[in-house]
Amino acid sequence: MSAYSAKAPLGLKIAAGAGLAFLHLPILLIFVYAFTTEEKSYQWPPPGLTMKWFAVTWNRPDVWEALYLSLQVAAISTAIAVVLGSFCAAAVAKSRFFGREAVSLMVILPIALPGIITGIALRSAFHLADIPYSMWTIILGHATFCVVVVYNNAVARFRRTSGSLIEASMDLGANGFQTLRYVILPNIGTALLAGGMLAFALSFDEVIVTTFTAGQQATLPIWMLEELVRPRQRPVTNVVAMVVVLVTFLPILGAYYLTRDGDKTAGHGK
Amino acid sequence: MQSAVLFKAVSRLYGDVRAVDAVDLDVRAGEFFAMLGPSGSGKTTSLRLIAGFELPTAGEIEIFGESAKGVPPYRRNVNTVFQDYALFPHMSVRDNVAYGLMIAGMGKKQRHAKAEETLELVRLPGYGDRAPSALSGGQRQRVALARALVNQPKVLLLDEPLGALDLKLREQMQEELKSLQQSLGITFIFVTHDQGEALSMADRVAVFNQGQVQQVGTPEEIYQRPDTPFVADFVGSSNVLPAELVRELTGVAAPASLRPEAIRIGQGEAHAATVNSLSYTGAVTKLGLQFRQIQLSALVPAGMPVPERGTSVAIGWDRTALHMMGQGK
Repeated sequence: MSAYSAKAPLGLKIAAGAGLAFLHLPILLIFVYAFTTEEKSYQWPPPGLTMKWFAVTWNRPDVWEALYLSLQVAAISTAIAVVLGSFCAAAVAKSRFFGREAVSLMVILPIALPGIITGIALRSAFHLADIPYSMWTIILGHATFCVVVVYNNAVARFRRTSGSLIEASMDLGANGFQTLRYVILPNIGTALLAGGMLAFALSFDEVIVTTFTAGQQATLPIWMLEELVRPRQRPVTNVVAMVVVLVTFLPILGAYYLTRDGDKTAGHGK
Repeated sequence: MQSAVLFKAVSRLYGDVRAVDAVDLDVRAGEFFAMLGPSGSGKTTSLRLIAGFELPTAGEIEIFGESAKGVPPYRRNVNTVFQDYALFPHMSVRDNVAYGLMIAGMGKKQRHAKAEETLELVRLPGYGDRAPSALSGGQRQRVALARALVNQPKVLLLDEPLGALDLKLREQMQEELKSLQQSLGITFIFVTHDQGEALSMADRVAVFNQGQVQQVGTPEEIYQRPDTPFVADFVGSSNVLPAELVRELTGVAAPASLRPEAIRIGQGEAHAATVNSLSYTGAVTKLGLQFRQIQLSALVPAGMPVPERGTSVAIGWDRTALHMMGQGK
């Protein structure tokens, strides 16, 4: 206790400050450039500040198109992930069968593999199966790693949920569907929601797998990458970057709070 | 008398393991029935077979005269108090107790009133708004009991319900369960590994060992006249005399049980034994005696002279104290 309650020495404080600055200053720079009056290059310090890029961004149809596609992809792949991930978690956590550990490992593998491998694998698979690249191929690609996130959250909660809860529900007259609705879902609900939010955030800013599985479509991150090459209206990219930070950060924050509280309630039953 | 639960040669196999091995049981309506045995003896599996969480590999189970075959747990008029209580952590105590009624489609007002009534029955009035996590172990146990009883089951199954409670609370709950059972008239089937608990609470006891029922009888029968060496040893640690020794003593070749309290120590007794251990437990001192080729335990009540370790003593017993048994399974 005393080792932690003592005041941190000055050197440590400076080191911590430097570390934080290293992590967050570049992000702040992005925000600052969203307000610069210089549109061709990132000049420091910005020659002047303006709000006009927000209006410009608002009126760019290609931004809306990319944003809409990204939201669609993230929403659908998250939905697929929630269904598949929770089923898979239920099977692995609640029953014993031959190859259970192998299945568990194989579900987690896509997130352990470098995205580029997943991307190449999917691209060649789509090619072999003669599937044209479309929004759906992007969704399939994203679902591979979204499932993992949901699965990890759900399996942890399932393991903490006492198996006798389900038996107790059956014992008290509830059939399988009622047990799912009144006992299982309320118990794993926050874990699924948290997993879903993380999956959504992951999908929303994914670049590598998307590059390999997209055809002509550009999701928001891909659009940004393309935009950086063009020397015109650069701050628009920064405005979009701010939006991306918000859209991904909020679900991650939400997921953090949900699982934190969820852990408490899940631990209570024991 | 009507049977509440009837087992006809019921077996439950897990691979090669015979968890329940051709068990016949007849639990009568309205009785307090204990299933007693060490862990892994098949008593909990038997309970789960009645609840419907396990299906018999062979044999048939009848609940109040009707075959339980193909009847899922949620259609059996049987409720369980789980060992870990299994209270729903996301519901209040009231919603936990009213769960069965909600599933049955009873209106909110009515089922909440019923739940409160049942909470009073288990002496937890006014606890409805609390979360299960805010209760002590003893209170959770009562909620689990209320949740099972509110559905007015024909049979209440209790799986080691007192195992997690401390001694004092356990004794109090034993009395309460007993009086609850008598006032409600519901058949209670109670699983325990504690022979004291089984003997003090149950009308009849079934002693389980290795998946088989060794003996079914009243606590007195089980204690005084064990059928097998296992029952004699497990229920109240009786001395078991091997058949060989019994033949030397009485001429009958059968194992026999001899209760420690039935052994008299003092001059004029017929047999010689050596004291090789002493342990003082308060009301009595336990003696370990070497008698011929076996070890006997005997009790000396407080206030009586206690022989010293290593000394030779004369011991004896009434002829009727020696209870002949079968070989057992």
